[in-house]
Amino acid sequence: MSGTRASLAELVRVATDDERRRLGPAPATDELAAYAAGKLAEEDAERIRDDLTLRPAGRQVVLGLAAMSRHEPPSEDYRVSDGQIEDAWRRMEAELGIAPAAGAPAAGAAWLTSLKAFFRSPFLVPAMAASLVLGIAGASLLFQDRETPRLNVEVFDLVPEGEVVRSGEQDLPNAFRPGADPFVLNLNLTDLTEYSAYLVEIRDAGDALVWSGRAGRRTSAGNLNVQVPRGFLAAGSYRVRLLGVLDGEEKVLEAYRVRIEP
Amino acid sequence: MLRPLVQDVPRHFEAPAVSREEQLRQLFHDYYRPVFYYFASQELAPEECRDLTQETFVNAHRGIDDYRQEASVKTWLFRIARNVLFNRRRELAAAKRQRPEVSLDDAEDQSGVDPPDSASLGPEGRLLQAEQVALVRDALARLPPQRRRCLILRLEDLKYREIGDLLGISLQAVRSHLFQAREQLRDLLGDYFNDRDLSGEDL
Repeated sequence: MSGTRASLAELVRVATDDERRRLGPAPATDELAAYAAGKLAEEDAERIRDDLTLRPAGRQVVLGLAAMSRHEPPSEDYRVSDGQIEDAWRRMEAELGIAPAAGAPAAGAAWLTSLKAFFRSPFLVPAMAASLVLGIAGASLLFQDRETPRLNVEVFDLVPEGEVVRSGEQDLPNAFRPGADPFVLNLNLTDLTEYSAYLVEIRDAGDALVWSGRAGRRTSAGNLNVQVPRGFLAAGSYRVRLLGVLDGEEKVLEAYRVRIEP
Repeated sequence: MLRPLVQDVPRHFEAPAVSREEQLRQLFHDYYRPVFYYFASQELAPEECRDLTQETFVNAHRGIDDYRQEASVKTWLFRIARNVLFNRRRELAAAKRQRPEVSLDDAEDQSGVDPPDSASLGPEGRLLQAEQVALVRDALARLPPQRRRCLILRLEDLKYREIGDLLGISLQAVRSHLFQAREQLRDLLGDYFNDRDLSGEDL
């Protein structure tokens, strides 16, 4: 910063001192969060903007929440893959003593203890034969799991709204039964552009956002899979929107309709 | 613009059919990146961001029963993450205090230049400064609110992106407001300040 710039900054600081002194109590974190989420009335939002301009106290809250709302990391060093999140979750399970979800590999060093006991066992030979059989079965399950998103998870194929109409079929939403199990949506899309990230939003009939999350990479067929927690969706009609993120810009790629049965 | 990445009402805690562990698992998977990005925004190394994110979710697990339904999940997690960060910084500061030697960096930090002080000016200098302050105050009052806010925040060395996030406007809008603020200040104060004062390339 040059000396002349510093003097202008200093004059502005002194010129706004009176206003700074007149500010009321600092806004609470919940109010700042509501402001960051765009949920405040315009009059209140203006008051918060003035406060943030003149008083640094609330800035860290708004900037922190803004950082949490980003779809892209600040740089490539901070990119987090789905695999890294899965590994971190395994560490959480181990640290908190949570039983791994069905089908998930066991965490921690439990397998090592079992292995030591196994080699001390008098039933070494029959056990080896049994583990060979189990190993083959396990490997076949493992390879099968790579082909399908997840065992015991229902997969629904969704065709974009426009596509259904173009093909002359009746434009009916896909109907799902209610329940607590998550399901996987296989989203067909016509846009061939490779986006840096894909986001999925589920909105209710009143256009309120009910759920949103990330879809992974495109499958070899060019589709996207996203796992949705069905337990959060009450009976009713929903619109699913698929967005692509490229250079920080979001673009709506497709829309789909789904319905949860009562 | 600010937009919630994940749904911003506490549905993670509303579904009665979902077990506590499943709630935590979904919370972890939905919010791992947002929490990680928060720590990344604090200019911490990726490895440290990973550790702090993990610690945030461990604390969230401990406090899940104290969760207040009136706050959004994101705000609740943000508070936990911020406390984790404060604690880490406190630990680091305490460790630094226990060290007997003062590093060259510390010595440099403590020798910061004091801002200009009106008491150090002579009577004539104080009069001139009071006049300049009055001119600047008047010029600021003439700027439209958003333009004025952008200018003040920029003069406090905030980055364009941070100004956009604070005011809920795009980067492009910040640039445009600053450009116009500079032009308007030049019109209003051009007789009193030279052009270099009002067109600093960082402004």
